[in-house]
Amino acid sequence: MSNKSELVMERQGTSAEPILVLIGAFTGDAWLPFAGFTGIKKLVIDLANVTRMNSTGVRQWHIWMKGIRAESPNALVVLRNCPRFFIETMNMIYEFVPGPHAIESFVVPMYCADCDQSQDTLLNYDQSATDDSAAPSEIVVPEVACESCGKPMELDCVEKTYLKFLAKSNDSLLKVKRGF
Amino acid sequence: MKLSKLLRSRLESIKNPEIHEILNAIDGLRFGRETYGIFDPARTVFLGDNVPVAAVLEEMSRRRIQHFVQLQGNSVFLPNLTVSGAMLLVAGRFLRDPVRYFFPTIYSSDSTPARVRRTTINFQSSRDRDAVLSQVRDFVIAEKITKPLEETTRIIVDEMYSNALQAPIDENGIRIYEKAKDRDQEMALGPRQVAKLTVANDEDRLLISMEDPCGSLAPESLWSSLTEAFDPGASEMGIPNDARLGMKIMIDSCSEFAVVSKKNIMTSVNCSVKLGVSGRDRSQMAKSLHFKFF
Repeated sequence: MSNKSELVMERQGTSAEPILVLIGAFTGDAWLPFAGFTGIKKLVIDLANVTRMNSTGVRQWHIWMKGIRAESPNALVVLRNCPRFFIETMNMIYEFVPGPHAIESFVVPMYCADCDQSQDTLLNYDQSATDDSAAPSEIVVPEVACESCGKPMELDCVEKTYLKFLAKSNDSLLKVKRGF
Repeated sequence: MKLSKLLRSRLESIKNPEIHEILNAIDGLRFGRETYGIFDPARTVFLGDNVPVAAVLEEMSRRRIQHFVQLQGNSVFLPNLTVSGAMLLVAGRFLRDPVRYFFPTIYSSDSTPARVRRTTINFQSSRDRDAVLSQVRDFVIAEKITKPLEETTRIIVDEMYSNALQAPIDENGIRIYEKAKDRDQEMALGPRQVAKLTVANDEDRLLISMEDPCGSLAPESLWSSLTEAFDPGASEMGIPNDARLGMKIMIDSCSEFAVVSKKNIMTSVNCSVKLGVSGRDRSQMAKSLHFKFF
C-alpha cells in the first residue's frame, strides 16, 4: 500500500448524483473542493483508494464534509469501500459523517491464528433492508480462507465495537424518515 | 492475589545485576489497597489488572503517580517494570536509548542483549514523511512476526511524526507551526536539529520510539490532551484538536505508552505493541502508562 501524501478527487456520475472517487491520503497536506455540490440528492464517496487518514486528515475530512453539508444539507451520502481505519475513526468521532448517510460496503479485518496473518475482506451492506431501529441488521461474514494455510480465518475485531458505525448510519437515516 | 506472591518469584528469576539495580529504584509497588515497600507517589509503580485507560488516568491524576503497569495473565511483566525503574533511575539514558530498557536482558547474568532488530531513521522536515513511512514499512514487512503490524505501525508513526514536527517553539515558548495556515508550508526543525525515529522488535513486542530535539512538551498540555481524549463521560469525541486525537490513536494502538521529556532538550514518545496476537486481542489489551518530565 502506498504511503503517498497526495489526495486526488475524481468526479464521476451525474451532476445530481455525483460519485467521488478519492485517491491518496488524508493527511492535511492536500484539500478537497466542496464547491459544486449545491442541491444534489445523493453523493457517493468511494474510499477504496484512500490509503490512510491521520489526526490532521480527520480535521481535513470534517471541514470538507461541513462544506458539502452547507451546500446540500439533506443529500444522502453513500460511503463505498470504507477501509478499516475509516471505520475505526467513524466509530470514535461524533458526527464524523454528519447528516444522512448510508454504508454501501466496508472492510472487515480477518485473522488466522495459525499463521499470525491478517487480511481485510470487503463486505457489501444493504441498508435498505434494515428495520425501523437504529440497531444494524445482522452482519454475515462469509468464510474467508487464509492465503497461507487455507484454513478459515476468524473475525479480527470486537464485533459490537467495530460495527457501531452501522447503528450511527441507521440512526441518521431514521432521523430523515421520521422528519427530524 | 497477594502482591508479595505476585512479585517474589518474578524478582528471584532476575539474573542481570543491572536490572536489579534499575528495579531497586522503584521504592514502592501498589496493587489495589496493598503496598509493597514505601509509598512515595513519585517513586511508586501502581499495578492494575485490566484497568481501562480512563480509570488509569484518573488514578494517576488523583494520586500524582507517574507509572501504571498492567498485569499480564496474573503476573507482572518485568520489562514494564524495567521501563518504570529506568525512567526513575537513569532518565537521561532512557531518553537517549529507550530500546535498551524496553527489551532488557533479564534472565541472563551476562549483558548479551536478546535478539532485537532495530532501525533508526533521522528526519528534519514534513517533506521527508513519505520516505520515512516507506522505510518503516520495509522494516516491518521484512519479518513474518511484525508484518501483521504494518498498518498499526504506520498509524502510530504518522502521529508521532506530526508531533515531532510541531515540537519547535520560539523564544516565547509558542509553537512555531501551531497556527500554520498555509497547508503547503513545509514544517521543518532547525538547521542543526534532527528528529529520530526508532522501530525495534524482539519475539514478543514491537517498539516505536520518536525522539524530538526540542523538549517542548509541557506536562500540563500532555495531561490535558490525555484526559480529554479519554473522557469517561463521553462515548465519542467531537472533532478534536489534532494533538488530542493523535494521543488517543497512539494509545489505542499500543499496550504500553511512555513519554519522557527533558525541558528544552528532548522529548521521547514510545509505543510498545504486542506481537503474535490478533488485532481483536490487541485492541482489548490493558495499557501500561509511564510519564516523566525533568
